Amino acid sequence: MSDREIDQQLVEQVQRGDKRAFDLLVIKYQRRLARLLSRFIRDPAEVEDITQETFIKAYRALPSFRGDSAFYTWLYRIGVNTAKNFLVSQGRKLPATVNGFGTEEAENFEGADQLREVNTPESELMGKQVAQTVNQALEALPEELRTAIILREIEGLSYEEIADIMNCPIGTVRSRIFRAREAVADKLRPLLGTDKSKRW
Amino acid sequence: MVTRGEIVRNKVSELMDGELDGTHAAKIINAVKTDNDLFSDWKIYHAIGDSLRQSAVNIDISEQVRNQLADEPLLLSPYPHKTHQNRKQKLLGLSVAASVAALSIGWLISQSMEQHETTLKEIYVAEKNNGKTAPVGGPRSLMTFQPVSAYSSPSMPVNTHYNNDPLIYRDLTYERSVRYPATGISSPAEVVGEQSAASAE
Repeated sequence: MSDREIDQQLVEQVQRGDKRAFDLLVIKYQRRLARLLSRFIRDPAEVEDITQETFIKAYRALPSFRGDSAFYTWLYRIGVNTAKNFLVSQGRKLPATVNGFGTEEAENFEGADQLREVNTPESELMGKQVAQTVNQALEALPEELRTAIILREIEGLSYEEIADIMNCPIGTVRSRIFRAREAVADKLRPLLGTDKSKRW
Repeated sequence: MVTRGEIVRNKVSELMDGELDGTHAAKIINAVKTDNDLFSDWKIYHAIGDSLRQSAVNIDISEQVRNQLADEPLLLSPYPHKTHQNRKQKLLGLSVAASVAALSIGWLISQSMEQHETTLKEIYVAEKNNGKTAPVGGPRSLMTFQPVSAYSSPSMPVNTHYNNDPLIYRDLTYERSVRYPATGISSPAEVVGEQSAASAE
């Protein structure tokens, strides 16, 4: 089941009245959406507000979402329009990037490196700590685990493609990516306040 | 030793990567929704991915959105989902096509039968007039009797064993197997619904 199909399944569950399914979508897309919106809005607090407002609007509009486009494309479109309206309501000039920003751009948006810093001092500190912890944990991983998770998360390759590159069975790729995530998550949990001691 | 928890978390990891099949994905999605630990894993795995992709943004508004939506009414979409809709529409189209095909074949058969009936009558009348006996084969069954076609030479009989024609049987059987959906046509409002949602911002 592809990423888009999983989103669609979650969307259908929300459409049937399951709010928890919407939580999963928020967690999945909140940072990517905020990163997109930060292209148009300078103030980090406003980015956070608009991100939040976008999700609320998306939730309310979900009954009419039929899956003709991917959920995230649709979400990004709502986000861009919300940002535009916000800037207009504030009497601010729209950045040139907003007007030329269409569905295609939203779909292919991965321009994190072009973005200015959009964190509040607190979130910036937290962001740095998270990034540092993740990087340290990544460095400590055995090479095959590190390669597998980088190919997946940064390059966006499928398990099959990773198996081809790493010359190993798909099952091994699954296991390596999971073990890599677990190792990094173990280091990150104390920072994010999730205790693993009570887990089964 | 691999624990049950690890197996399930492994599945969550696969789900995130779009590598689970439909059945498993549905089960794991439900598990993530109902189990707080798995929900937390979903959260943390995404934080790792976002961090690795060097997201400059570090926000977590999921709690705020959840609180804000707590007072929202539950969504109950009035429209069946597109894939179901498409399935229904395809089925309806198939049914109509099958019906038209069956009707056409039925009409052709009835035309042929009428024609053969006439031909048979003519043959019998002609044979009676010539003082010949009735053809071998007992009672005249149009479905088993091979009459001489009115359009062919008497020395080149045309095979008209309709009851043995697999094409006819196939179509008739197919027609019977098709179920007519009760609904299945999307209203124009559905089509514009999504566009208006995005443009209503």
